[in-house]
Amino acid sequence: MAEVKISVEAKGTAYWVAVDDTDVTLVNGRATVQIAPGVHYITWWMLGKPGDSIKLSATSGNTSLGKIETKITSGQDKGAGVMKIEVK
Amino acid sequence: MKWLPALLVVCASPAFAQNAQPAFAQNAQPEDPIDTPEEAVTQVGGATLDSAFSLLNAIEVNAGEEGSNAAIRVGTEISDGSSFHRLSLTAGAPLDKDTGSAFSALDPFANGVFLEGRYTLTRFTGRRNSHREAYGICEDVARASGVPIGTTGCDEQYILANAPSRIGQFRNLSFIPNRNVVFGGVTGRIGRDQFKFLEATTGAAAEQNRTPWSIGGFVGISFLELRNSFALEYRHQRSFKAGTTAAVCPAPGTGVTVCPVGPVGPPTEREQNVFTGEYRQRIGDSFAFSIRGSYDTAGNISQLDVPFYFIGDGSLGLNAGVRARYVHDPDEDDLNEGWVFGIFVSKSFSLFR
Repeated sequence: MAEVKISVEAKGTAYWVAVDDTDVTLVNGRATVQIAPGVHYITWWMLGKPGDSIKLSATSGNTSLGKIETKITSGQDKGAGVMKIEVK
Repeated sequence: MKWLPALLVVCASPAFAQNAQPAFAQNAQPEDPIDTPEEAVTQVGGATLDSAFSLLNAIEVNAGEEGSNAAIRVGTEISDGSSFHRLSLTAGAPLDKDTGSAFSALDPFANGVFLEGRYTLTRFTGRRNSHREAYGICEDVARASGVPIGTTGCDEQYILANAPSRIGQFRNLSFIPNRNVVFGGVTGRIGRDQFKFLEATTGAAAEQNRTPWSIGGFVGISFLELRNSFALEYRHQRSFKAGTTAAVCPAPGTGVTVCPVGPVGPPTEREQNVFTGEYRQRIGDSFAFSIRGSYDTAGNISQLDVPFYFIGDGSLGLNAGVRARYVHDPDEDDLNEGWVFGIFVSKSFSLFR
């Protein structure tokens, strides 16, 4: 198992994150989870308004597993996306 | 009938930057020193006080809907499963005391500094976690379009840019259709307000400090697919009202003299129970409005407020708009009585609180 730190910075009403099928409890946008080696998916959801943004990053030790920044698209009040990571 | 002047907004929070960076630069260095305000705005992103992850995000100078004020907010957030909890503490002060006092007969804090604590719960059960299938769509799109999944990750932006015909399929893998968002919270606010007035008997200038406060709560529901929301709010508050403005003159027979003019006598205290119902509706990408009705059972004051927003850019963080407000106040001294029409620039419209 590897210790993976997840960090979220969001400007919106509310947001949620899951690693594979498991919800992650984030305190002030941060959480540390144990993940088995292999390919995993970090899914995010956000409520807000068009243009509200979210940054999400995952690191293991000093290694960045991935990071994204995106926003709720025009005409939407919610957004979602998936980031694929590989844990060594 | 009165016309209000246009109000301008100066946002210390970096509301203007969201569109400046449509994609996340993988090699961006947010730790880079910020040398100029413009650079700070470009780097940090974010707009209003919705989320306080940095000092710049937590500071706001806002003019518009409820007068003009500066505020700083700190908070903590917990996201667990389908609920999102936010606890915040906000300190604020008015920037245009005179203008603010003309805006709301039901706002005891329009003219003074305040400290507010707020807890908000947002609950949403409409998430669907089909991560493999959703990511599979992005991989299909990447193969077909030749555009790699970039810095936005596999999300709606990527699908819309490269395979818009598949956006419905992607959204169905992310959200359960026709699910609603419920939200609620409690607030407490305490303020400090200075009243300057004339002694009724002597005409001498005097001043007193008063401490208005309020406690309350709200609940609401948003029908996301319909892009609207309903909210109910209750607030119990203690407010202070300046005395009636008049000239204090010496008794007749002393010849011509200059009479001081101002509020006469110390402020009067009043307890208010304010019930508010609000409906918010977004119309397409460019318009939104809300209808907000409030009633103070103690003073029989009623207020109807209807702001109509022109959303120039959904992500700009600011809206211009026009508004109509009607206030009925049995107090004959209340200058807010009647219709008020105005234009405003304020924080961007949101369905949620």
